[in-house]
Amino acid sequence: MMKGDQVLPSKEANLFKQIVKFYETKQYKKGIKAADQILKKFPDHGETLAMKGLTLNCMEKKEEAYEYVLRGLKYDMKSHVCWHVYGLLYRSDRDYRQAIKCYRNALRLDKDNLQILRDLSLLQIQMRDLSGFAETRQQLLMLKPNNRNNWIAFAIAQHLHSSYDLAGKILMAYEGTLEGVPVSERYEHGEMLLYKAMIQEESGALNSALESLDKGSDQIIDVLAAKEARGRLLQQTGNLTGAEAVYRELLEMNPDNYNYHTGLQSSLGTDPGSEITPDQRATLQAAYEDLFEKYPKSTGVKRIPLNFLEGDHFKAAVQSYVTRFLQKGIPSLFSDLSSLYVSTAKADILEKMFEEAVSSLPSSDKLPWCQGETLEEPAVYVWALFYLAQHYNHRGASTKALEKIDAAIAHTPTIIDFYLVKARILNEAGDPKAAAIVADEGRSMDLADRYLNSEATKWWLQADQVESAQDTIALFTKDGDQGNNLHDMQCMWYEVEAGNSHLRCERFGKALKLFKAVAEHFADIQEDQFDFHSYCLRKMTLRTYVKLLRMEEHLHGHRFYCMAAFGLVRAYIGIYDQPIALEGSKSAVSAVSQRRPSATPGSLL
Amino acid sequence: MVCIRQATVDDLIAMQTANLWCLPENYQMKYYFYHILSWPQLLYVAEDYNKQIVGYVLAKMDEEENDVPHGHITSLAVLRSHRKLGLATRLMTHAQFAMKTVFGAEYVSLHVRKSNRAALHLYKQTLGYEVNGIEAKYYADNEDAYDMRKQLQEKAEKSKVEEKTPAEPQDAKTHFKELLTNRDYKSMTAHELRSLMKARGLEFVDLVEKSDFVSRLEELDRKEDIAKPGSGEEAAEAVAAE
Repeated sequence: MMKGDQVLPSKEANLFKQIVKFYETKQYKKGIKAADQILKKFPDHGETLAMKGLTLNCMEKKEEAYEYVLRGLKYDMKSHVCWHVYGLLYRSDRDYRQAIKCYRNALRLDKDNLQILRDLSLLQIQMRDLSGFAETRQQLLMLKPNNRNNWIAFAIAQHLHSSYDLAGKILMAYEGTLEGVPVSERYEHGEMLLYKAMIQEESGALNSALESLDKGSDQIIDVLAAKEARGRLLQQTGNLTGAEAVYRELLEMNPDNYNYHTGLQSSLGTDPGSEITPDQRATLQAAYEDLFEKYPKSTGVKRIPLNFLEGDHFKAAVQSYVTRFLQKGIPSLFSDLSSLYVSTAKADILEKMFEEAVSSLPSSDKLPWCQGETLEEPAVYVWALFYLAQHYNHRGASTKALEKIDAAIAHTPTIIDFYLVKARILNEAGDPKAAAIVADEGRSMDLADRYLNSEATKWWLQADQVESAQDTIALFTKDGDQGNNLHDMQCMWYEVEAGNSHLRCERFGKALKLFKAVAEHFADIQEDQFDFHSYCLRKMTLRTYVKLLRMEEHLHGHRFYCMAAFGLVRAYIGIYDQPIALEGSKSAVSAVSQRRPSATPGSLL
Repeated sequence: MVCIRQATVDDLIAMQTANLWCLPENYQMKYYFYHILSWPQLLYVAEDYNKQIVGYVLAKMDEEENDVPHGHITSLAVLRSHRKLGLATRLMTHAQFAMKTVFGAEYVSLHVRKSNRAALHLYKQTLGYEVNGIEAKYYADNEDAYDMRKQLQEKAEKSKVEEKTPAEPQDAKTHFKELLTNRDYKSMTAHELRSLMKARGLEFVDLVEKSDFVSRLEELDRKEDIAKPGSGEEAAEAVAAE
């Protein structure tokens, strides 16, 4: 191994090895002791100074750490150890750009150092330096071709770099080197094959992807994933009969997966989401009657036709659909049907149906569309009222909505779901305070249910009663230490809502603190991927890993982040505009520019 | 209709939000990452027409040495607004099926609060779980948990089990467990540590060296000046210095 200019006598050289060992085993005090022993005789020994710095860094003495590492570098600029250590220091501070520069310098001095190359590759993928990553992974593969991970990582690098052909070839070449797959690695091998098919699919080589899946069919353990891919591929290659068969198999496994239904519909020649012709409607209708025979228990099979049926067909279908919901008192009926309201005709049919139901039920105990003599339970009536309340609220008729929900509550005051809907109606009608009070009443009816607690908290925040909100949510967070627990658990919905409430009340400092917390969570979530770069190579969960990388790339487009960013900007502007000055010469603005917004928000505002 | 499908990485933040909305036991995002990147087949979501996640199951495999492969339900939730639709049953059925067919799980285990009668009914009556034991003071508020199990397939031959290669950081993991059981970490009780461990994804030592919790352990270690062997990753890191 190439060394810097400074060579230690054997006794000290041994001591140096000890420092490294102590660092590895986290015996930092002993490491420092050993370093000091060397430095007593050779105060200018660069690598020792650097290692002492690295050790100090682990003992939370950051300033000293940098001091020592830099001094070490000064005395031994030609040591790859010093540069590597400097890089590790930056890495521990998440300053990956600087760390990459250091590793590069280290590699200039020791170009085939595997460990530094591996460390460099991790930073490159974390920073999405895709061409750099591909280069480093290639070098590692050339140096150690008998290591499985090096083949896989190089393939990933090429895939991410959009060199699909090469990526696929690497995996095939790797496959060629295997002599049988041990039982204990069957899962990993199957994952690799699925990943290969994914690369081929993304490159547009659909037929190759299909071939890979067929060829690997007895080696791929995740049968479901292979089937889903096959369905997609057959569809895209225009083999609709083949696709239809696959989607029917998938529905057999899970008749409630909406994607399979979409797949089936497409393979039957209809494009879900666009207008359909009467012929297509007839095809679908027949197909779903058939599916209903097969899967009478599936909700999806009954619900989906409501999307494409019209007029009397729709009416008959929806009547039979809602009956079970009403009889069982399933609270999500309205939410389930609400997407039908894009059609005014369907909304009108529903309105008429439910109005008729609530007027006939109290006297007859029968749903008007149900034949036969069976009498309904009284609860059916209140659930119909419950539906109507949400229906009118959706159509903007709050007074009617309130009437219905009040009638439902008066009839059966023990059903908590009614209170939650009443809260929503009140809030949308412009009375958030009343909404919060009603939601809190609902909460008090089952204190063990966190869902109710969250609902109440949300409405307290909407009503700008932050203290009530805090007291409420604290019931589910330990020891009254709720601020920290919510923060530790990345409870972003609360931070965003509470931040907005503070913003409305012009408590900009407090708003700032909460929005910044959300931004920090996103920084952490971005950082979280780091450990998985090497982990997934071992686990071979490569499809999921690549999707994770992509998800991280558009992470900051998430609704929570956007709301927090928007809130941050408004909070900063609010602080800038606020004409209040603190005692003395410090203004609110200067306090913020010193980056201590959360230190004195109370007194500041 | 509520769609029941495998979760993707794009669902994880929504799953975390649903978890925080419904349940007192919560986890940081990294723990969700850990699940989906280790056993992508075992996470399922229920998604409504408006693309909102209204339920999820977060499950894993327990890869302990000297034990048959078995699954574990980390967390299961369905929003109150979407109850009575049988979503929890469906989510569980799919996760259990994947455990068995993809990972060869012989049985699946879970913990449930003693007081949670609705959940108990679901596990016992609907899904066929049986009480295997009681974990005293399992939850942060000192409530006991039932340790429940459901057999997924016939027990394998003993020799087959031994063939299984152990998961990588086994020595570090065992060591970590010893650390937790053998020492009194001052103010913290065992179940507090455990829930903290869970919450911060500390079941896999090689991924969490930098977490607050480990640094707390290290800080305590330093105070007691007890030497502690490092884990594989960091050891490798310093090879370059040799």
